[in-house]
Amino acid sequence: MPKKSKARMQTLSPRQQSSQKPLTPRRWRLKLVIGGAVLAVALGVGGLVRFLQQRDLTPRLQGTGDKHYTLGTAGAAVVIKEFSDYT
Amino acid sequence: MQRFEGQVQVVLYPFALNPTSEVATQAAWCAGEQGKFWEFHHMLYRRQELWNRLAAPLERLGEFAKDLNLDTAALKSCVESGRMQGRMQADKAYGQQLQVNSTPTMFINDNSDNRIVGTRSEGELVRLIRQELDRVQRSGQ
Amino acid sequence: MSSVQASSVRRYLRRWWYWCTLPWVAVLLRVLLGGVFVFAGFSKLLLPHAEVVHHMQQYQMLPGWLVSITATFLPWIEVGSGTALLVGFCTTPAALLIAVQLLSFSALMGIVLAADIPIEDCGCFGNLGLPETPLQVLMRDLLMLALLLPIVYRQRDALGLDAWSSAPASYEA
Repeated sequence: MPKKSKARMQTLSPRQQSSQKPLTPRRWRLKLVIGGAVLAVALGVGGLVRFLQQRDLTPRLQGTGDKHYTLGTAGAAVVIKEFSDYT
Repeated sequence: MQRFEGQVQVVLYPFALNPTSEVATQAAWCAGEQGKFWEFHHMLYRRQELWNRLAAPLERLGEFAKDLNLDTAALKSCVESGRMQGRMQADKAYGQQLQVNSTPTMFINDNSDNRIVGTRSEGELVRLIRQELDRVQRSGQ
Repeated sequence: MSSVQASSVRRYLRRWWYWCTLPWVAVLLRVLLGGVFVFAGFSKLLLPHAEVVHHMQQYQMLPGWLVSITATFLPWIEVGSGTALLVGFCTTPAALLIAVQLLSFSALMGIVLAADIPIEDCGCFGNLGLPETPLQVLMRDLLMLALLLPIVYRQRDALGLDAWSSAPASYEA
């Protein structure tokens, strides 16, 4: 089989060169593991951020309610806290 | 409110997003000292277009206060004294702790999952309130 | 367009393509685009869900049930696709997913501009970014779409997991 010359290799575009390179199975598996792990970490951090934000919110909500103007009956079954802006 | 008389209470937390709104908020509380908070509150919304673009709306709000038979001089001096600043900042800080970014934002029964952001139709609000009333009744509270 | 103008446009495009497909430039673009999407995703995850829903509702495009689903899943898709692109893992699928998102956002902004829907802040980066108008978002998204091309073209040469996993060629001299 004729050998491919270096000169011919050098004239190939990067895409053509890279398509000539076979993937070794071991590296391909490692790539999946590492890539999957990085994705899992990123999504895990996102989940943690969401969880912590939600967890802190509920106790804060049960806070201050005095000295504010109210409409309706005190001690009603449904209490709505409304944050609004006049503009 | 009339539909759910005795079953619902609304607690108002003014959350001023800009300096003009801060003046309006303090003016409303100062009107409250003269016993007319809710009248002033409703008037601010009814005549919103007439004052909300002014950088210094106190003068205009003072004119509106006359229509409600409020002591305008006392109202202005109350706002200018800054007595209501602390209360306003406390409410703002509370809202920021709860990650309120847009108005109106409502919380039903102190449940962070029951956060309502933005204007809703009357029908939708009625549905949400009914849902919560049913839940409370089922849990026997 | 005259033939002189057309050849000058072709020349600029060739120059742009040459610079963008240099390996180090492709890495930079990949990190930048991936980083933008990771940032966008996290900024939405930091907001309460109802706030994200509210941002989407202002566009008046999607029905209520779809707004809620989109607000739930979009931040995760942004974080996932952005991270994959950032590390050069499954670069082509990640880039395609990002391209779909960019095309959707661009189409949405185009409709908003055409329908003259007033939007002060797109909500793209939650509370962490500067407020952007629909026109600014449209221009940014189209630019990012253009920058995806050299990233995909250079994925096996530029520093990243896909490049690393490619074994060297075994040709004899």
